[in-house]
Amino acid sequence: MHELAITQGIVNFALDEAARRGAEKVTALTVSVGALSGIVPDCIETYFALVAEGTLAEGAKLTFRRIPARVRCIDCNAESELPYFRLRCPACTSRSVELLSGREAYIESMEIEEKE
Amino acid sequence: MEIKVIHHIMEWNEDHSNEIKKNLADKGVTMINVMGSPGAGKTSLITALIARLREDYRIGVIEGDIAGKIDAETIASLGIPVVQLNTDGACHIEAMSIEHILPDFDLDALDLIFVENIGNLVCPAEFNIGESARLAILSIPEGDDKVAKYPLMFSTTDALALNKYDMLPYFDFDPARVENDARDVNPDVEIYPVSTRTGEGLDALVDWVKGIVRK
Ligand SMILES: Nc1nc2c(ncn2[C@@H]2O[C@H](COP(=O)(O)OP(=O)(O)OP(=O)(O)O)[C@@H](O)[C@H]2O)c(=O)[nH]1
Ligand SMILES: [Mg+2]
Ligand SMILES: [Zn+2]
Repeated sequence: MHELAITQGIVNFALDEAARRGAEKVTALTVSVGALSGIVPDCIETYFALVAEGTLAEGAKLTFRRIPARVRCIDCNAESELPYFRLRCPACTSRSVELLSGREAYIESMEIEEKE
Repeated sequence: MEIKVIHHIMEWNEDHSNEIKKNLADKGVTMINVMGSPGAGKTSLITALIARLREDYRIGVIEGDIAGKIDAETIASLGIPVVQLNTDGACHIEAMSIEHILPDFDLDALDLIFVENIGNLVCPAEFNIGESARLAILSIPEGDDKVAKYPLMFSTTDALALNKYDMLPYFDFDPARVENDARDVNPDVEIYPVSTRTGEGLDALVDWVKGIVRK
């Protein structure tokens, strides 16, 4: 159910932005989603058609850019991708890690058709 | 035409959350977001904390439920101001709902608000509601694998109460595993084994609450 609310947020933003720019249609949206963000792209995809129906964003192509979770280890200096949600260095198992990416959840770009 | 936007997906919720935070800070009110599965003991724990904190603080409660007002009636029977928030099917509380409901309280007459979030180990974690701190509850009968299976909730909480500790002898529940899994996603999380039934461990959790209530 919360993906519905999140999808509504995405569509509302796209519609506001389109209106602000006097666009006729939103044709595409790119959303970046980090592996640790808790956002489930498949669910958003499912709700998107429903929420966008009858709006300027109806039929827009939704693309997700999935961002892996990466850490830098303070102890061994290794930079690695995390295989699961576990903030430990995969190389040496230290918990002293700095999260480099993985929590992202943002609309990155959109494509609009402007009025003639 | 393509346009770059970089707009955070949760901004519509964050804006309201920040607004609430500011409002509560102005009024000197601390808000604790209590989260956990259905039946983990959220109402029981809030009730137990109220009993131990009401001499020192003026307390209010927001009861989030998908439907009904059973928990709100429990709290109201204690003589504590309580507002019921029904989400009509939604699995989480959003900041805007809290914003709408706060005017029902006299904030000048409160120091501390507990929000009992919807019973759910996943969704509420994604929504900030203007809280000062989060308290997640995991109860022994739910099993010691829950932190590993539902990491987001435990990664975003400030404190974790392991409730129904009196049930430990009856379940294969390894507290060390939970602690280890919790620190893997949230190195600084404070963990409190408690039982609202026997009162075990509650003093330490009360001290945690006192530590975050605005002076
Ligand atoms: N043995 C034992 N039972 C407990 C403890 N705390 C709560 N319970 C029982 O667990 C059940 C659920 O407790 P609630 O406080 O209603 O749980 P909740 O998380 O508020 O539940 P929902 O609001 O329905 O999601 C009740 O039957 C409580 O009596 C405890 O420390 N030990
Ligand atoms: Mg309850
Ligand atoms: Zn390392």
